[in-house]
Amino acid sequence: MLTVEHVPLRRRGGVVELAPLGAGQLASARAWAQAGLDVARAHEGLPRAALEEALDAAVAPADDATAADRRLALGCKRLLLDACDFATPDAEGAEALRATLFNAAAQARAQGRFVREQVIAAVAAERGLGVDDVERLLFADLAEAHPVAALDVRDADELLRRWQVGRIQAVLLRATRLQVTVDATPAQLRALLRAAKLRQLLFDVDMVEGGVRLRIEGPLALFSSVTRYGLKLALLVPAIRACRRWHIEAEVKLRKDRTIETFVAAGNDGDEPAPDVELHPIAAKLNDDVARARGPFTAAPASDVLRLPGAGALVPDLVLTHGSTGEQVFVEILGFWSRSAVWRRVELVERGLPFKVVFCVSERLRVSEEALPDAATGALVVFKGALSAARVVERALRLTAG
Amino acid sequence: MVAPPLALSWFAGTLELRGLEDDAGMPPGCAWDERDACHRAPACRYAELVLWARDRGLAFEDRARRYQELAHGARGLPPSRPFQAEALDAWRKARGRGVVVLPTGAGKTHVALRAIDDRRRSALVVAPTLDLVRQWHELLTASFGGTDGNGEVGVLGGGQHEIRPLTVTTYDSAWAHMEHLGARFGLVVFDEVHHLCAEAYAQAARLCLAPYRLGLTATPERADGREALLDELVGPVVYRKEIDELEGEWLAEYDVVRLEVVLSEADRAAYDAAHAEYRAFVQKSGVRLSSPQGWGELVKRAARSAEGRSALAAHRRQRALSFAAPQKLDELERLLERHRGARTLVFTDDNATAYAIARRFLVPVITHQTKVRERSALLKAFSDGALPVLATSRVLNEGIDVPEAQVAVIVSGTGSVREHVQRLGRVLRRREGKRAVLYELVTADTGEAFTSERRRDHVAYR
Repeated sequence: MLTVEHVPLRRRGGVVELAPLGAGQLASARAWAQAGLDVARAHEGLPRAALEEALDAAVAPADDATAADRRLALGCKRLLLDACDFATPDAEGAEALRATLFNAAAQARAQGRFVREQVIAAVAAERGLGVDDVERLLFADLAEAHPVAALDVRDADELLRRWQVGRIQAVLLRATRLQVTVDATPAQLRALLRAAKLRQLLFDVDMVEGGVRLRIEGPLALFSSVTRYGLKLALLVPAIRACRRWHIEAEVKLRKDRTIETFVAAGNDGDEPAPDVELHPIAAKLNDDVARARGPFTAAPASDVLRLPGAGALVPDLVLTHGSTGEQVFVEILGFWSRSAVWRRVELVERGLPFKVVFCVSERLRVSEEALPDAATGALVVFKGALSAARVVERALRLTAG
Repeated sequence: MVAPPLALSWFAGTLELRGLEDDAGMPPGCAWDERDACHRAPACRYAELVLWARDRGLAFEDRARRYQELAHGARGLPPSRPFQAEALDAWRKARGRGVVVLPTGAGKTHVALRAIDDRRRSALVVAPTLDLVRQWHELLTASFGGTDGNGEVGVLGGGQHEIRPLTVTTYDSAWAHMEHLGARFGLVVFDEVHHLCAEAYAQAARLCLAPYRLGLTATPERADGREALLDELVGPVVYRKEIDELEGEWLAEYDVVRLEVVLSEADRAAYDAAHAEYRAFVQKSGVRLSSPQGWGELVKRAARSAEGRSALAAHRRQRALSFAAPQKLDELERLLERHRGARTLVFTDDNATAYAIARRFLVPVITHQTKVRERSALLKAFSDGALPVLATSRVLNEGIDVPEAQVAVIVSGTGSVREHVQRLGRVLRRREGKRAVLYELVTADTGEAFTSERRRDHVAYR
């Protein structure tokens, strides 16, 4: 992953922005990416240290290059190294060789007859190796000796696309809070919220002109500006860039004195391919089971985000639609979520919801269905392993009957 | 399940308090969290919150606390030395929160084992390196573990993820995982607690609800002055003894020998040329290197010009020439011969020199790249004398307990007083008839002589 040292930035009007690249810089970046790829391909089978040295030579800004160019080159090298798969050599073999050699040397030294060349020659002979092989294999398991096995990037264009994502992530690694305004399809928004939920980030959702505004941060952000959640926030970037239009405003600590600055970035449709928004496996199975049962409801993946003023939002997995009345009941699966998340939902239902939801809660969360026995807008289904579609439908029927 | 009127629960290293009446006032450490409609506090405020509720007679369901009482206390611990007993007593009087400062080799670990025995709550030990994690694991297993009662001792870090009532982890893993496991321990022991003051590691202490906390160190002071944070994260210094107060009776007697080596003519010329280029740039830049931000400022300015970058390269060259002078390795050869058979630790500032020593003398080496299994085997072989010489860069600076170690050779190091005291500490553990010796190899008439002066600014070297 890129870090902020790899990214050219500029400060303008009190905010930090990604420095726009001129045509010359773009050409340099493309040339470095291509040269780096050529070098990496030529180093397949060779040690990492040799690759790094060759990359230093191939991706080298001129002596009079600007600081931005130097960062660009550093970033390019970082991405190339990240794209390399390195083979793990026979660590046990190297470890065993060292054990033999060091023990032999210790014994020779204890007897006052330590001569390096003789010890190595004796061990080489014992193991059927040449003296040079012993020297080479002695620390062959160290990272710098690992050979390049494969390169996981197609071409310079793909490397540059990774750089576009990576440079935003690099800044967000130092973020304490993130505000994202997106114009997104329900599926895109859902993917973004799901990504935040999965990482135990807390968020507020507001409908604003032209889209949805999300304030995303970690629980500790209430007390101090910590960069602890920076990685989690950075990992949201692909889901953000997949939206039709997006605007990021983040509090970041980039300077050594850790003063807080504002970072802004924006982009449009097509910046990133749509992320995988497949259903959670339990939800997918429930969807199929409801369809197969041909009961009173039809099921479909939910595309709505249900706003709860002052209490965040619910991102249901499925929506069940009653065949006769057209009434809808949402289904949210809480398989991996915390027990307190269930309690929050119980409290929300007790206060009354403007929609109906069945919460399907894993037995691991130790919650009883009796927590919501007769509520009008919400019901609990506790499941162990497989989730019964019949029970979900039965609870949904009760809610629609009420 | 009926929700009680007031409930305290755990969420990702914070505490959520729900059901509080409007007129109850703001609980200590809490803020109202609009995002989730609850009162929230960092987990480290747990003890205060519980006391606050109790003082007001508020009935609450504690869903946050997930730690337990140990099935049994310690077995077979040796009697405490007088100063260890005093330290434990001081910690108890501070309601089980505080830092104990004792020199390396004085038995800080024993104080921690006694503290765990005293509180008998699930305990997490946080240590800076995997070597120390391994060492703590062995100690806890011997004192508390087994197949009965407390069960096995868990390890988090180095590829292992076993959380048990007694668990050992690294600072890095504690930082990464505390938001998931910070409710599961009633006592947390921070070994080499000065590390905890780093911003990221401090969060690990805040994300943990353990009401009892013990910090151990020989050197709490930090160059950045952040040791003041320990009061909040662990508690105040409750007990302190220095090396000179314990030498002889409780620590091995020792000598410190400084050996100067002289560069070859060619290396001297190369050193002088590199030094001149670097100094010229420093002078031209006008940066005052003695100021706290001096070095950072110089690097920043150097990055802006080819001349500056060349000057920094010259600085690295001169440093390499003085820190890893071939003459040092010749001197090391003489020392290894002189102390043949004695357990000898060879310290370097960088991995490259450590590996160069390993290659030249065919002695084992431990760096951050050495896997846990091999580390354990090497330390055992060092301890039992099969491999009496061990080279390392910095990873063995702290905490490793090898009572047999008698000779330390500092081939190179930083100007840090703490690092130097810690390295000395590796050979100070007392053994009958043992006299330890620490050699410091310094290249004459180079910047390293100044570095050496700085790191010797401690009572242990006077």
